[in-house]
Amino acid sequence: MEVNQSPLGRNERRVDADVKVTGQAVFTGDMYVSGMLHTAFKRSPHAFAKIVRIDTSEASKLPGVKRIVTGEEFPTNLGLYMGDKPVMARGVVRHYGEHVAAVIADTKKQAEAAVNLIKVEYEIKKPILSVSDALQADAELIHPDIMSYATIPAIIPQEGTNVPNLTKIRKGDIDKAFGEAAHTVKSSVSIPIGDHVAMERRAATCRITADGDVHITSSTQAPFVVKSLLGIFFNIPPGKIIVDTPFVGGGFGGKAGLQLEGLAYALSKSVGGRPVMVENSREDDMVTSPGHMGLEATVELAADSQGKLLGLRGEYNYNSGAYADYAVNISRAGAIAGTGPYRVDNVHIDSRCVYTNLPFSTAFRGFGHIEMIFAVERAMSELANKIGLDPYEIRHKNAIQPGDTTPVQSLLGRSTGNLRGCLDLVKNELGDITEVEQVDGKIRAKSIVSFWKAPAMPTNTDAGAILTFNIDGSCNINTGIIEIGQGTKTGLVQLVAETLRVETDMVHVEIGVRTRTSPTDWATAASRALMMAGSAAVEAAQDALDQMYDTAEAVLKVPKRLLDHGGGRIFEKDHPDIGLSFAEIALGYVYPDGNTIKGQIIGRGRYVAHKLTGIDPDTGQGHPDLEWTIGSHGIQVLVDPNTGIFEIERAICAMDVGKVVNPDLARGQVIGSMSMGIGYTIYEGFKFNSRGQITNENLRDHKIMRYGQQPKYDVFFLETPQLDGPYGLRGLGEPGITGMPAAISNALSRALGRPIRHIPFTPEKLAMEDHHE
Amino acid sequence: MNKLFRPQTYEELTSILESQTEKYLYYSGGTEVMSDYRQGKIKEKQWIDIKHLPGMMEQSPETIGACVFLNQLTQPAMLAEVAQGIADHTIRNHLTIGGNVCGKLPFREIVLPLLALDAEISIFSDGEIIRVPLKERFDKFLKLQPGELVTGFHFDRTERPYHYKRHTITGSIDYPLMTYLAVRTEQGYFVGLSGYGSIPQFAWFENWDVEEILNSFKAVSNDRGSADYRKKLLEIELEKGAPNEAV
Repeated sequence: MEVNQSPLGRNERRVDADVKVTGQAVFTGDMYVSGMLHTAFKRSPHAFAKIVRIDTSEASKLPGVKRIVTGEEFPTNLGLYMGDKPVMARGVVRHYGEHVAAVIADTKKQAEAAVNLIKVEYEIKKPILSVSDALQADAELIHPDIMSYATIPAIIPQEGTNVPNLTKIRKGDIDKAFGEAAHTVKSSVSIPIGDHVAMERRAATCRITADGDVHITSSTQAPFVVKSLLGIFFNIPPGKIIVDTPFVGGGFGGKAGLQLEGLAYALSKSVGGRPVMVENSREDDMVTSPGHMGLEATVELAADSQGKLLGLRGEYNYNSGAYADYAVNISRAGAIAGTGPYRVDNVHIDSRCVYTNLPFSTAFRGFGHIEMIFAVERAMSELANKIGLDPYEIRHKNAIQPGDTTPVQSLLGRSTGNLRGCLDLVKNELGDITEVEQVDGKIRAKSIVSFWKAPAMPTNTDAGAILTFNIDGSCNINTGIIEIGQGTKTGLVQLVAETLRVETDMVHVEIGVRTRTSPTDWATAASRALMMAGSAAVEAAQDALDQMYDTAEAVLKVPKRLLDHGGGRIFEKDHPDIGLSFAEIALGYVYPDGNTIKGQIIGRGRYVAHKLTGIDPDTGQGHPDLEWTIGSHGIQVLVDPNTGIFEIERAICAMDVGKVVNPDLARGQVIGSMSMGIGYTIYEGFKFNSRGQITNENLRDHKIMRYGQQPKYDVFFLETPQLDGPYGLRGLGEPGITGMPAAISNALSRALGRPIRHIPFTPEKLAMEDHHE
Repeated sequence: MNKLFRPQTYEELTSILESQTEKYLYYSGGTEVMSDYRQGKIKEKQWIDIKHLPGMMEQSPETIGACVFLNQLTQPAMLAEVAQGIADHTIRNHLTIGGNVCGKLPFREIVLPLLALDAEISIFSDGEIIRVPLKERFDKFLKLQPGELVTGFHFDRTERPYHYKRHTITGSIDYPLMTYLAVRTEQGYFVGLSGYGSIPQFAWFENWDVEEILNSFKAVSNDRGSADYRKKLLEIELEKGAPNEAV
């Protein structure tokens, strides 16, 4: 094995490994303070109902109960991109599991006992349980006041409908494209809403101290969003809000935006600022807090006789459940990327966020791309079948290239990843994609798909890094990035060590984030942490070096340009043995006589997204897409056509990540994505009855992937540099999930000779030819 | 506050039962009780841990105690295989054979091999231990009078030809869509199913007549799958033939 001396590209051990495997890592739910009160919530058993009366009289008599509050006490609505969610239900419940009342008590048991005595009288309404029902002209409005909610300008609610956002993409002349096409296909797919199932359940605590400081501790991916939104919605000066985030046990988007923090604040305030803990049980986490969106989509493709794409018409109807909050922007992201990574000159996409009376949803790994790519790639395979083209060929032929434009007409530059290279790597592994093999009554089949993902974030998305030093010359990195298990903190150490040219044990990294002392950071989401905070950290290291060179220049009496650094020293290029160690200058240089100059080194680094714009409300034109991570998935399945039971034998991913900082961690992220994608596609999703009550809100009935169920994974990385990323890297945390549903669908469809379009792909759906999909 | 009793003798158990004024529950492996308790579904405040009663952990040629864990069942092969199909390894270190028979979950898969083996059960009833054929007491679920407690199982360990298949809608660690157990008996065949209907179903047949066997069972439609799909799976298993060859 080749020994890699540079910290970059090396399999550095995770900085959080030891405390996690020993159980010493501290999470929000562990952080009790003395006098902390506990909470339990009365949940709605109905999907859609008017609240007629809430009787808390019996409950409030129980010992230990401090207060019982209902939604009416809090007139505020909360939400990230759309403020449509009450702190707790006011007058109406819109989904099963919605909070209708909270008990604050000395102990959790007391709070739970009191909840059981709260009586709520409802007037039940007929719930709307599918996107297509919600879009009917005469559908009841789940949010009649849709136009009154606060939104960001990019979000376009549709008055008098259940559509809190419609994003339109209009590029080229779609009718002409379909008119001239030699081949067209039309394909529909669907995905149920479901849950992230992060290992750590959401938790938040709040206390308000005598000086007016609001102290929040939360399992959040976005402490600065929490700070900013609490400030806006509860009218608190932002500097008075201190959000602390320790380790977070998995987020997958589910802990971005505002989660339990608003509730924790409101409840603490209702008991005079006493510390209050709000902690979800697994069941709460699945249905009272948001999960992932569902989708009903139709894609039509037009191609010439050779299979070159001429046009794409897409109808993406995302199911956001009862509240849109964060989810409105997912429907927008799906539109911005809405063709998949193909050159398509004529595009017509309507992408909607649609309310239903199912539990609400928020960001999920892939942010709208996993859903959209399933729709596009299913259609691509149907098109290839129709034309008689190899599934690899049609994708290779249409692969997007530098110089092409995206659906929103932004021009792709030299940083564009190499899709053709990725397709080649996957095909190399799988061989002939069209080959179907009979094995003892079972069928083995393969697939190949493409994917891409861009972050959908504010145009001024930022990150920062502060580098301070210790007396031994080692440094400490402070950023606003949350360690959610993705390994970014380890990557930051490697980037800084590379820049300073020191060993990684000379670089320490702060795990926790505290909004009063950490530099501002948009959120740990959108696969952006290592790219953006990494840029800031590299800049901070360079800034620190500049300062150390200043000191060295003064002490060594040699101009900076004749100095170099390495091995924790700054030295003369001409006489490398003459120099100063970082330890000698990190906290100011002390002359032998005691005189000291310069003082301590503090490196600062900033990142802000550049040249981003919103999109035109009528055509979608704009430049909202900072960087695209592009790649390809391949799948091999073995299906028993009689029982429908199948095995995913192989899962392959080739992705252009610009630069691999830590091969093992990068591979882990991609395999984790693929595994999650398999669970999402074949096991997961909420089940509900005709009344809209979720029937699998637990991990006995909502199965996720287990260790023993994994296929053989192969991961390949290409390194076309991202010119604005540190050392050329770009995001890789999410894209590895985005092609999985399509890849699995296409392999199963090939095996069975009929399209498999509706997630989850249960054995029953595969076995029963006439299964009503 | 909850109260946990841990009787060491049946005399002690008798006096605990006599002193009970409220509802109580028997506690064995705890996998269901703890999970339900966390969710606030357990109303009983008096818990009686039965694991320390004499014979509860017995593993002798004559008796398998009711609190023997599923991972400890090794003979005959069909019993071990059905036991190994339930839950996952860690959970099976706590799941007991008695708990699987008497618990609240509808699957009770371990009942199938026990019935096929003509097992008898010992029941602590009214201060004494009685022994009865399992099938006399098992109809949809085990019929027990208030206070009665299963203490052990008795069956012949001789191996018999059998077929076993467990279908789930996800991986192997899931509740069964259909657990199928077919056993060659002296008079003909035993066929038992779990997950196929809302309760375990079983019957004895003189001949291996696929049509007859298929029509003897009623499939249910629920979140896991439709009745038609279950019927198809059963037919596939039955078509594989009678369990005539020793495994």
